[in-house]
Amino acid sequence: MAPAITAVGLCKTFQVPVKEPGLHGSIKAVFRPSRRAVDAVRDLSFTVARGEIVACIGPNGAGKSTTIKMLTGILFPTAGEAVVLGLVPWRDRARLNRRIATVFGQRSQLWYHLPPADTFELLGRIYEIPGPECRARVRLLVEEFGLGEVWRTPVRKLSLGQRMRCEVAAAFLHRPEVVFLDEPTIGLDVVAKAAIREMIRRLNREEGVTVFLTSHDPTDIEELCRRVLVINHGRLVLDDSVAGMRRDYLETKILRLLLDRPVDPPAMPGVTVLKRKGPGLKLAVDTTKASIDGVLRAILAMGSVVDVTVTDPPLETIIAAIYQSKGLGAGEGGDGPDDDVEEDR
Amino acid sequence: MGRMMMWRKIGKYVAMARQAVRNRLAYPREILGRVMFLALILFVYDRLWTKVLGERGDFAGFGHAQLIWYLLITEAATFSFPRLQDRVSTDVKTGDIAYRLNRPASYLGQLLAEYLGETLAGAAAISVPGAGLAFLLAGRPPDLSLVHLAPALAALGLGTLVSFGLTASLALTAFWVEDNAPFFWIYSKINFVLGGLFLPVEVYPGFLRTLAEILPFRLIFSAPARLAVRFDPVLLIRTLIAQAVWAAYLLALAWLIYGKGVRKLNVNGG
Amino acid sequence: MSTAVRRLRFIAGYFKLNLAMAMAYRGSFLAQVFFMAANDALLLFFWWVLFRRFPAVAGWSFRDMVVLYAASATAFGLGAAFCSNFLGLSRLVSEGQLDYFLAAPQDPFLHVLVARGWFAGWGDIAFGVGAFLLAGDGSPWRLIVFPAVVLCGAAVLVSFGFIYGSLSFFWGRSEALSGMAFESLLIFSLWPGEIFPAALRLLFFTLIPAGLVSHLPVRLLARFDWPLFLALLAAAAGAVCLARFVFRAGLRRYESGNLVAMRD
Repeated sequence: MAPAITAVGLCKTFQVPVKEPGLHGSIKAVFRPSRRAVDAVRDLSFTVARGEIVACIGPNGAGKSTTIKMLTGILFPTAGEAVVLGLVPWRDRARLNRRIATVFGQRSQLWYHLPPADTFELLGRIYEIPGPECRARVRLLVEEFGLGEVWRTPVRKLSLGQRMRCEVAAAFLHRPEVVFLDEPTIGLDVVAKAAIREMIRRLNREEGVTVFLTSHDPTDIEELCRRVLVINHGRLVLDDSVAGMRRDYLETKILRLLLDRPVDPPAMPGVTVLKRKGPGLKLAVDTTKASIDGVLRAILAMGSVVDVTVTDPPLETIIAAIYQSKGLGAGEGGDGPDDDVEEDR
Repeated sequence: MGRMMMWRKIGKYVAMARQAVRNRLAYPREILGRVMFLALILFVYDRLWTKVLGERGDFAGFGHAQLIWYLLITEAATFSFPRLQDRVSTDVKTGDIAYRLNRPASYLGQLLAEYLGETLAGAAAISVPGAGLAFLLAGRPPDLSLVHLAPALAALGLGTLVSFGLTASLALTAFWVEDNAPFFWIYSKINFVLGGLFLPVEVYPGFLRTLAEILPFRLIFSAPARLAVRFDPVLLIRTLIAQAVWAAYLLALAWLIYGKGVRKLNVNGG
Repeated sequence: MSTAVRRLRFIAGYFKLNLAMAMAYRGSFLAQVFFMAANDALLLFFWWVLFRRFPAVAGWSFRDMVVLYAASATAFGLGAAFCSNFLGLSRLVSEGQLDYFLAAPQDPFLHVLVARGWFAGWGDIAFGVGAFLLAGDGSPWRLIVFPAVVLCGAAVLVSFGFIYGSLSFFWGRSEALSGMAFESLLIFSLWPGEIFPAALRLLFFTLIPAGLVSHLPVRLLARFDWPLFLALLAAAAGAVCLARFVFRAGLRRYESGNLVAMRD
């Protein structure tokens, strides 16, 4: 079967107006602004097969949103080609829009002062779904995703998690074949994130929807996707399976501890001390070699724990690690890691 | 020692006023927009009065040039007065109004200093191009001379105080009414009619004229503008007295409302 | 379901939602309607005072002025109540909010046109219709002509709102200029054309079509004339086509992404 999305050598260069300093610059800026070229996307090529869930991750400014905009036809590229469901997005946008959907994590399409039910009805008319079919579809979505209590409540009274669930459900109303999700879990708590991920998984499984999502959160990738694209400075840095990426880069967890007294942690395999300040400790734990549980036990033997946090390393660190492993110099790549890692090799 | 304290206090308020002036003039594009709008209005009314009055006609004693300059002054005043209500509403909501400055003189004094500063800045910014426009369209009004200008400016100054008293009293209702925007909408409409925005209130018919002369709204910009374009010493004295009386009354009213409001705030919590 | 029916269902969908908003916020809706109607009525105050002293202004009577205000207000109100995006198009463009409309499977021009309504517009309609009925001579023919000419006026107003707003596609700092142009269109539509020099009156049928919004409609209400009415109809249709053309040209620039510093 033909792939859902194909991108070949996509490039997007923006001409950003630049104001020269001083009064002369201000006057000039009004009438003939000078422009600076900004390469947002450089030579991006990838394929997404039907029914795949692919994540596109990268730091801010990497070009993720620009890529989505090109694939949905909102922007046209400076160079390169793309085909989505057999159509060229920026040329056949109207036809393509009927078969795809986009969800922006930070911008809502639900009317704020009305219940989601009303927006669903409007969407049915925008996508020209006949009345009875639309109503049946809405009933199905509401039931499947447990939206019963929130569906008829004004959106402004919903929590962010509830709103996002309705937002995602709304995107699937017209049975799109491809769904683009731009930061769908941003700002959500752990429970809400899990709910959204479950929704996406089910719809992918039951309706074969191809999902292309961007995210800042490595857990989104781990939980949802089989494949990941890493973008930085507009370039594709990694196109790999999640299993591969996990194996290589995602097993480290950051452990932050606040103890009741300064403690000198014992040397343990797979554990690196990143920072030590008074009673505070920051450790990097390689979960293939050590368990969080084991590390905590060892620390607890030495003193009481006042506070503990377990997080993923920041995306920038992961990307930097990817770069390092690929032998790309720091100048080429993203922002450097924000911690000095003292390696115990 | 006492006099030093007083001068220092005045100095504080002068500094606030100066800051307000700077704030107002920080957005030249906004001023340009208002000047353009003023130009449009003056132009339209110029065409109207030319058509209606012809070369030498008058409207209850007001000739073409006088009506245009009248309009310039009232419009410039309307543009110059800052919006107190937003500032006061925020202060009430955050509780700053009670805790930061706990004496009525301080808070109202601060508001007044800023009000005067912003009005002065706005007026200066808009009157120069505005006067140019009025002159281009209508020439000089017959009564305008330096001798007449000074008392007219005094009347404008007192008018500003009246405006402050009214606006502050209304704004301070924020203590009791969270969304008092409708009050200000009504106030601006009243000013439009009873405040004599387009015509001096003495040309109003019958009961409306009486009503307008009893109420203080015409004292803000209508009466001063009228004196500026058509001077009358008797009217001047009466206007200044009326303005002084109303200004005193309204400032006292604002003071009272402030006191009541702060007490309410302290009783009910922030 | 034919295309026309589907499109009508789509437009009706937005109308339904705007209605739902009004019902959900009944107090706010009624307040805005009332205040806007009162606001419009007060504007007539100046003319009332003037006409007590002068019997006619450039051949216009007070009743004529009321009809002018009625026509202008109703035209504006219709536009604002159903198509209020014409008032804020500049901002939509400069803030990148057109993405949503581009991503939807409907014609972007039509979509932006119908997507929003402003409660206060109903106040203008209420005032306009009320004023017209009060000032009228009750002839049934006028009751048919009024909606017809006012709809043309609304079409011209909305179209030019779009045209002025579309300047933002081509020139980033044009918001003030578009605002000024639209403001003058509104103001001139509230003043009789005869007080202005002939050269300016030409402007009222071209760049700032106040003539099409209210002057010509008032003329037609006083003395109906089929050729003139058809000319107004044609001009209104032309305005809509021009607006669509300009907007779509602007959209092509928008899609280049070079309008704003559109970053990730």
